[in-house]
Amino acid sequence: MIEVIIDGKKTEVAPGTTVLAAAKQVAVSIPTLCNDELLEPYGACRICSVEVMEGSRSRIVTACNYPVRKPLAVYTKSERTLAVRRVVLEMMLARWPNVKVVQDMARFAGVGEPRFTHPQRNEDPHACVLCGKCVRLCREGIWHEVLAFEGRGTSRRVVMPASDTSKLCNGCGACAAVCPTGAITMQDDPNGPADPKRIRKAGMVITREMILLDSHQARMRPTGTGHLVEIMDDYDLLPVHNFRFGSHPDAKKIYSPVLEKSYWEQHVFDGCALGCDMSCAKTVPGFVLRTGPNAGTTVIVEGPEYETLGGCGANVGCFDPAWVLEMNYYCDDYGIDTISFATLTAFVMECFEAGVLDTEKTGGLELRFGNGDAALELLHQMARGEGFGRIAGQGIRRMKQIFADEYGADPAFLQDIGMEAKGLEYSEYVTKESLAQQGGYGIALKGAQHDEAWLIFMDMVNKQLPTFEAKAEALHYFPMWRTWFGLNGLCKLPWNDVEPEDNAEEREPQKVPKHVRGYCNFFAGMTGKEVGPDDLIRMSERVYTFQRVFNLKMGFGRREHDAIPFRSQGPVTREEYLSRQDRYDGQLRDLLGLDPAAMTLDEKMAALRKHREDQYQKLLDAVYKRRGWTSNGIPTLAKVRELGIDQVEGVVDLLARHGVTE
Amino acid sequence: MSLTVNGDEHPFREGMTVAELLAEKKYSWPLITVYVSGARIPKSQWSTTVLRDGDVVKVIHLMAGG
Repeated sequence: MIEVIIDGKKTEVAPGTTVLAAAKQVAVSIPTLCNDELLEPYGACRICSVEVMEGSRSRIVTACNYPVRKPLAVYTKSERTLAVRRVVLEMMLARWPNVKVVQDMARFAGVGEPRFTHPQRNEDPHACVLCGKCVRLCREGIWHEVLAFEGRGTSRRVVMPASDTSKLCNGCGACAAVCPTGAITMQDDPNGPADPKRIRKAGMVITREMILLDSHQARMRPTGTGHLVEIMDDYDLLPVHNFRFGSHPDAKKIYSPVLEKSYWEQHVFDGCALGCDMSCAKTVPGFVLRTGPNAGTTVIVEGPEYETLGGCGANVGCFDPAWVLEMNYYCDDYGIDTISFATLTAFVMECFEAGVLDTEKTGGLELRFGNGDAALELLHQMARGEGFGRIAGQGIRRMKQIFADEYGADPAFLQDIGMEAKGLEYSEYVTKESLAQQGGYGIALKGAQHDEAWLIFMDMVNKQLPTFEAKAEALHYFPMWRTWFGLNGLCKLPWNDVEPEDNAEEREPQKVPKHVRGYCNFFAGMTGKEVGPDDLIRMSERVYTFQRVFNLKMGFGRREHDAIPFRSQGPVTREEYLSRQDRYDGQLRDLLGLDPAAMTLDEKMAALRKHREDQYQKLLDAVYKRRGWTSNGIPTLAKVRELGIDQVEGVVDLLARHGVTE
Repeated sequence: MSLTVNGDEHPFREGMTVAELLAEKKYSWPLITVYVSGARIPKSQWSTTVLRDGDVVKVIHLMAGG
């Protein structure tokens, strides 16, 4: 540590600390213009110039970027400092007499009328003063580098490449937010927001966090959700071989560092949401396809993100980025969802290995776990509507029916391992040890998709949902909250994939309350209507409950439709039980008071299964109660009235037809 | 000699640090907050904070997820 004395106040700093930062430590403020917490110091405006004494030498340096390396004394108000500061501001005032920030700083420094006139005198109150913050933010912070300086000396100016506006600009507005003079304005968007400044202010909170915090939080910008592969593997949540296991020694072959090092292109605006500074989607350029109608072509693959890696990699046992990328590309090309493809293929593979299918039935395809070439051929067949692909492409729900009816397979076994709910294939997380997440998937309106709730850590790891009521409360709040993003056309990732530095101090950190308030500001800025967090939940509850009623109309809205396959709840096969024997035996002992040592494997599996199935039914009871639904999972008339959706024609009659009249 | 970590018992070793505990539990999630017997331990101090026998450790994972 090195001693620094600033205006007589002593302090100690680590070597390399700037004079400006040191001054802050002792609450001495030095005026700045081109400096910003989001940016590397630049030393352009010279306003922060101060006199420093190192040894016997005294000289003027810019405080923002002068590193302390030896003991020194700083004078922020010496005659020499003030004289330098005045002349800098005088020159600026001469060139930009009407820019407010220049006027204010000049007045504060005691500068009157400038003694000279500037040849490029610019009377615009919103003139650009060449501080460079916009250029630097676009490059260092947003990683887009769309703005640059052009020209030298007095002809220096800020431009976009080649033209007045550039297609490369994603309209994030960060440059306008950081500009001190209002020289940059956003052309307001066609949605006609009531208060665009308010929206931008709320957005800059997230942008600031992305710039300062993301790189040591979830690393969304460099890796997107791809970093989840290694994490899920660590927590035994990565689906392997049709959700049988939660980890695999080969999973490291598709961890994000592999993708980051050799595949993903960085810093490319992905067009996913205009103006998003998380911009987390990845692309892989220069990929040469090996199979299918475009074999031999070099393409850009959009992805892969976690689900595609977890599904097309781990779940089907194809732990090789090349296979994942080829599946990713063709799924996109064919308009097939990678999650559905991965999960149905995993089902097919388990059926093949269990003898339900054979090469005769699959037309020669050896659909075993790890056979990426066979999986790809299946994908091509699905797209062409040919061969076994024509059957597989109908999805797990229909395959279960076909395999039972036409191949004589055991329907109970297929039901247990067929990972679908309401006909939608499960997305790529192992939920066996999280009752809350089993509900998150099973009760979800659209089927087994985790966009409604992702509670695995809160439930299974943090143990923050110990009671049914706590789980039901979480299964009320989070699906309602997450539905809100869909209602507003927003991505949920900025809500909790980056968090404020003080989020841990909040009473309910899982809700990321500061960001929720930000979304209230967003909504008010768009509509002109003031709302609080409870109002947002209410908006969703109305739509969500109506969707449940619509599900009822379409034949998916009762308790029986919230059923889930046992593979999502516990070990179906002996192999699965034995792979985590200590855990399961321990639970039989601790939760059920049984003695595993005195039981056969089949007895243990049966006892565990009964317990878990009972638990799920109890969870449904608790969730339905919390949501104001009947014990059959139907919204009550009272609830529907409360939300005003009884006004929609046909709703009340539909409920009555299902015996719901209260 | 043991610790309680998120309600479960975990073997305690003399001199083990918070960082070592997290590695043993494979708690690699980037958004976590650690409390040791009620006191929050910032990330910058994980490798220097030494645990004591009987400490009650809470490792709260922020949700996020795919």
